Amino acid sequence: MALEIKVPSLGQSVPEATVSKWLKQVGDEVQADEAVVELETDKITMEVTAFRGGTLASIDKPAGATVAVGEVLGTIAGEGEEVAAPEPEEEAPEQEEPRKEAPLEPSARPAEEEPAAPPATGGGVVIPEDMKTSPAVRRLAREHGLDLTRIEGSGRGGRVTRDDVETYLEGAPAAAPAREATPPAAAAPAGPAREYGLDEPVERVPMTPIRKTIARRMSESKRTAAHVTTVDEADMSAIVELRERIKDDFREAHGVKLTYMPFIAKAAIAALKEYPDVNASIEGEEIVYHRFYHLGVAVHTEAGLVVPVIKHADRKSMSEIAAEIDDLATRARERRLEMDDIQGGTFTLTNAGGFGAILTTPIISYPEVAVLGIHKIQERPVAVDGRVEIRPMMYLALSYDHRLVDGTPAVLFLRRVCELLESPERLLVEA
Amino acid sequence: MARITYIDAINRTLHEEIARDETTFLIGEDTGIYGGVFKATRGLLEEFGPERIIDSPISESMIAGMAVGAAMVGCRPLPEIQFADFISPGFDQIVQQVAKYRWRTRGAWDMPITIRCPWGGGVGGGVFHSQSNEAWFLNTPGLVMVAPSTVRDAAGLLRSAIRSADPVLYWEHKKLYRSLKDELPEGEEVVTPIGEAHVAREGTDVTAISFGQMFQYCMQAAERLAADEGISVEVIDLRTLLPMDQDTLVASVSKTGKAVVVYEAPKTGGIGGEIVALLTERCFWDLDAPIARVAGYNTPFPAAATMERAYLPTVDTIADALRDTART
Repeated sequence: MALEIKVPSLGQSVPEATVSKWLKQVGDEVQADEAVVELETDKITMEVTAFRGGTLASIDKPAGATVAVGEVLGTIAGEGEEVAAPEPEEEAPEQEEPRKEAPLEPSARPAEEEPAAPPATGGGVVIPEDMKTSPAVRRLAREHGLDLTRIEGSGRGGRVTRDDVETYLEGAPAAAPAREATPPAAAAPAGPAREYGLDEPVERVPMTPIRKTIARRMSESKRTAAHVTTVDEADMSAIVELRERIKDDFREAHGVKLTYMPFIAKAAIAALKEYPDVNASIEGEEIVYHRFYHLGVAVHTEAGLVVPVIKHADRKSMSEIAAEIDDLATRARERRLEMDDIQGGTFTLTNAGGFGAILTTPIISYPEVAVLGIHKIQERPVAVDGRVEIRPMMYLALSYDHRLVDGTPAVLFLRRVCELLESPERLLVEA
Repeated sequence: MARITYIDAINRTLHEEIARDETTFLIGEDTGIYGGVFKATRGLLEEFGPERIIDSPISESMIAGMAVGAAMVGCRPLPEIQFADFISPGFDQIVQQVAKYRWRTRGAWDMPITIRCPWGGGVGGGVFHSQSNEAWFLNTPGLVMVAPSTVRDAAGLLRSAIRSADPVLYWEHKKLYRSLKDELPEGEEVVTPIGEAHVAREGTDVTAISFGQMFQYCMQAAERLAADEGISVEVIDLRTLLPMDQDTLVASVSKTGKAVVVYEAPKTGGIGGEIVALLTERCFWDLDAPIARVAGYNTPFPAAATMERAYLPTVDTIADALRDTART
């Protein structure tokens, strides 16, 4: 009997995946445990293997199709069994399916949203309790992420009518005033459709699952956490000098490049131990203090931003952290991360300095409560003991969730990180 | 083109259809020699003779019941209920027999019966000569109900009803009989399709849904609101009450987001409730205001002229409801 290739478990609360690539064609020989097809889900690309060898008999879900856990992707025929004729139509569905994906995606998030509403597009849907809002108005507010308190109401008693909302949507250039400022990465999947002139050519590209996930999570984080960013700076001369001194030996001994990240990671962990609020989470009305340290390290990939996690980073040496960062970053770029690699973080580090930024205001990786942004180390004139000296300075920016973390601990936490970086010997002694 | 009254449009169509189809015959109280209490059937007895134009005893159950028997043997009966209010003695025959014979015989016996029912208030008819009884039958699958609001549809819907294989209750509004006069082409078979509502006036602020005399009032209210207050009312003439043209109603109310239903019958349990339910079901996410019903009071129909004026919706009360809803 033909063996069915089914979609395996994709991870907790991941109901769907997209078939990204068939590694075998119908009629090809397949060995037992050989990878047959690639699925893409959230930030993971995973391979599905054949349990037993045979011939790939049929491809039931072509590349681009959205599949759920347990669905049959294809079949493998054993000896003497029939093989379906190769699908000549394979190309056409590839074009069709991605386009259908966009309307399907919103329904994959039932638990978080109201049943009849598509996901809110930006932060800031405000439907005031003390205003009479009709079903039409509420629907439009949800669909376009609108703050109804910011729209002129011409109805009885100052009510915002459907006409008022429609007029507002036509008039506002990007409906920007009604939404909180969000970084470009959080572009909304369901914004108002715009008409383009004949001399305004556009290219429409369906969002990939990764992009949709990033959009959703960025929006969710900004909408939920009370983001505040505090900035400090560190004189990195000690670290710079230390790294210069040991980097070649390090490379030889451990096979990986020594960057600034492991130093910063160690400093951050030491500070987290002193300021446990920054390593916690909010669950309902409880604060969950994590007595372990899973450090997320943001990695930029072609497909988008991914945050793999170093588990129990406090138990690892600098060389182990360096090696793990290198491995996770490589696998992230090659889309070979597992679900486990990106879940469970308690604090995140993000480095925009590689591309030249000196200061950013990072978005918290919800449901964590803080994210530490590090930046380009830049030689700057600074005052040292009353004299002007040129020092390699780096701004550190901590975005934190003010629902849980108050300004004072946030500032002190950041100061501690800077202290440890400015005097790395303290990491040996105190951390 | 000559202008004729609503009642003459009915009379002319009866002449034409009875002439056209020899299986048709008409039966009712005072319909033959007298030509009908309103003269709707004037001239028919002279033209077609007593075998086809029958003066009935005062027995609506017999009028409806014999139509069932006649239909069984291949006739196309055209019974008349002298005043719609009197339909109740014939209720059992209509809802249990007329409505159900096709179903019960798996199509062997159609009931191609058209029952004409003069209905509606505004003629000083009092308790038993002014009622709107469409709601009594709304819940009876197997029946078709039409209610012309214009001269053209008086002819067109009657023709469609008579030619239809379905049993049709044809509600002709007695106030409109002589108060409405319009052009009707001669020598042309005017047909109004059953099951289609008509957007008589396009608008953007609120939809008015009605039939019969109330439709005419809605049109007048819409005119006045547009001219005096800049309120744009879309007016729908239901034309067929059962099966109702849901799509036309839904398209309109989705567009305007607001609706007012106007009918003469007592408000509770009237056809307005059914319309509001279906609009809520299908237009909920487009509704920008509660749907209003303007209807008769929950009392029997009053006799005194002053009371009748107070009871029925007027152009003023309809305009008030439309304005109120539009401005919500």
